[in-house]
Amino acid sequence: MITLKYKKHDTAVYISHIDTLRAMVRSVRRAGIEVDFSKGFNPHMLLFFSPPLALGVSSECEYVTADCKGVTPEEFVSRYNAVCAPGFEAVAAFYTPKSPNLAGRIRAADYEFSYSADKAEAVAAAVKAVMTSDVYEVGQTTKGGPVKKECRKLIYAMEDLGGVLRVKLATGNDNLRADRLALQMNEDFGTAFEVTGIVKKVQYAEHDGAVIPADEFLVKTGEEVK
Amino acid sequence: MDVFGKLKESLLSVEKPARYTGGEYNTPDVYKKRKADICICFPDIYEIGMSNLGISILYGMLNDNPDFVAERCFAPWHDMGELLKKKGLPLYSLESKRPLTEFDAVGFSIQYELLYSNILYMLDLAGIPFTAKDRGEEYPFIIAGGPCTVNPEPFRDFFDIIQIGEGEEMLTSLMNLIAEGKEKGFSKEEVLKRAATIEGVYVPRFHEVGKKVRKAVVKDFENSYYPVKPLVPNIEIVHDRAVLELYRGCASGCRFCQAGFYYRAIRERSPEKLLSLAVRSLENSGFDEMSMASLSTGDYYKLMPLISSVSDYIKDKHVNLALPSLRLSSFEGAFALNTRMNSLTFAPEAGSQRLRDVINKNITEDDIFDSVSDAFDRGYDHLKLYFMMGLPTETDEDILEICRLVKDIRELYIKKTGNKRLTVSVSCSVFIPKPVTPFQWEEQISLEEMLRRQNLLRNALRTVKGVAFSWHGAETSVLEAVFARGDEKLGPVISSAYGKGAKFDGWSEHFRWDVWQEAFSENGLDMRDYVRARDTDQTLPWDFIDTTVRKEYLLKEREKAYNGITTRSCREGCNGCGANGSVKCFGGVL
Repeated sequence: MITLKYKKHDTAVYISHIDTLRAMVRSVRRAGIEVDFSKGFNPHMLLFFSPPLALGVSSECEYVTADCKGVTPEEFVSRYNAVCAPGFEAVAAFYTPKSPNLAGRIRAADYEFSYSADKAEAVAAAVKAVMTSDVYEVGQTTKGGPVKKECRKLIYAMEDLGGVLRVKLATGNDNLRADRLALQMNEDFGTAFEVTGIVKKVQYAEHDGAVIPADEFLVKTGEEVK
Repeated sequence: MDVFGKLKESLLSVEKPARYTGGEYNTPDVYKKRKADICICFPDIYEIGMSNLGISILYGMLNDNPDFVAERCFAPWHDMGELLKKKGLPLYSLESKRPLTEFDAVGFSIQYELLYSNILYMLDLAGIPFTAKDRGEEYPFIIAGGPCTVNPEPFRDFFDIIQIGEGEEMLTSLMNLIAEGKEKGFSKEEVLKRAATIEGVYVPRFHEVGKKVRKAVVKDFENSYYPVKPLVPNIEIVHDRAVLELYRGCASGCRFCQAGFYYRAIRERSPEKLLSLAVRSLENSGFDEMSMASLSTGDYYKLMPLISSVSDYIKDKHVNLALPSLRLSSFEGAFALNTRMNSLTFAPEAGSQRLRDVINKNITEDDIFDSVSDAFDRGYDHLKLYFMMGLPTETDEDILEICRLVKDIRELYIKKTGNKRLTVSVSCSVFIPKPVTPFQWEEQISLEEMLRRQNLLRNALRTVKGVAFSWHGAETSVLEAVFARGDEKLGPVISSAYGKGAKFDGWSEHFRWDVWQEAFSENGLDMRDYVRARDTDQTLPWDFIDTTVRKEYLLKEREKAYNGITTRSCREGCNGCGANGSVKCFGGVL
């Protein structure tokens, strides 16, 4: 199997997860890479994705795994990049002897929220308030209307890098959406983050009881080709 | 103006923002040096416009030309339209995100009558005055094309240039002229006067009364441009697949069908050419479905060899073949396919043989039962049947015959399979008399009569198990009929209706009958005057358009309809309509 690490940026951030799946299938078809299909009445290409990304958020670290034959990770990247949908360029590929099950194994992700210089104070105050508190409620809109959920334990770290706020959030089965956190902080602290200014930088997977960067995990299970 | 930069974040608040971002695979270089550019507009949403083959052809063709750039713009859904207005931003092109006013030309593809209000919606959002006379040199040329230009009079005031017929050659000539005008500093007036000399081009401002405009026809269809690098949409669209255009025109001659008469002469592509187009389209797009399109795909002269060669190619590639618009009598083609369909669609159009003869739908009841019986043998247990009501000479008996036909089909299924699993969807639209058909003089039945006949059929079908009945909105059918045969007096009505909030009229949930009624009365017009029967010696608003099919032929066909006499398929021999002239039907082999 080969796991491809790809970006999602530019206008591709407006493409939903379900449409991303379709775009990826078409890119792989165009690349002429032979991937296994499901058996049964309605066969579809077997691709396995890392957890979905919220609409508007960019990423430098999305993953998709394909059971394919006759192609090396290196070839996969070059053939894929020659024909991929704009904004979905591959940055690396890993040979993985069996499915890495990233959807089930991802535990956390680092995001960067960019902000404008005049908001530096507000951001600093926000970080202090959130990180020193035991609770932080984040709002979301459900079918029944707006609700707030306690999310403090899903925020693992926040670091102000000046112009950029780096946050580590629970991702996967326990999940806090970066866009929702940003909007909540805007409401509470006037930080004026933009969802389209958020970039997912690193995903972390669980491996042998430890949580390590997904790339490292993939290297341990196979070999990487940049 | 950086329109997109100002929208970046707020786009997340609208439904399906990818409708407004461009960024599709196969997007051409729109930043190249060019002599002229055009923004091709489609007055309906992205998912519908992107499914349109005409747009795809013209877009690809112009961008493949080193001298031109073409971009796209679709009607924004209500939420996006409101967002643009709220932010004071103009409608923009999807590729370079430029306001429409920055293009040399803005071309609208007008596919059907209920989109007319959306033309004004888009012009309004673009900040472009509605009528040609109110637009000075600073505005782009506003061009119309598409099937509705067969009768352009209702919307003629909104356009500088109207293209009648097939766009490929005509639009290239127009773009060349616009480029020349830019280079030599022609005034708008000068360009328009010259444009009027291009075959198929109608310039309302300089049109001499009594002068005919002959529609443009692509002569060498076999080798005409085909978009083998189609844009691959990032969101699911209505026809989310590669498409092959088998032929233009139609040999059947159904008397209600505008496309069947308008797109003559009949020109077919060879199966070899089509296979090569299919391979390239699929490889360049990654689509997993390919459809074979034309007015009556089942009548393509080499359908079986084509299907078998395409099937050979897609074998093991997990690509599906879709065959739309199969006429009943040419149904066998579908069976050659190893697809996973379990539902079949047929369009008998009328329930009784008498009425099918009137409309020249050359299908007998035996044909229907043979096909359906075959389908049942192969395990099909769902049928969709399309009918029309309000056809000329129709009586209540004809309508009840629809019900009888459905009943007999169901009985056949039970007899053959021993079970009652069959479901039948019966869909019934209302007949709309359309220009350039033998029925262009007919009346449309009144709104009250439509409702009465719909009830008659619905009540009758209630007695048959497993039938779902759906019908078209009666009011929208009236409006469609009014505009189809409308005149120049309707331009102000469209403006009034748009001003009162009419847009997306083809979307039943947004159709505002009250608004249209008010708009008509405000302009002192009565819709009933437009749906009544017309005298055959009266001059019709679209008579100045020469479709190559002679009026005498249409009259003859009308006479035959009244007498229940059918006309053979053009494939069996030329019927002498007039289209088989400078461009020969079937390449001149008949």
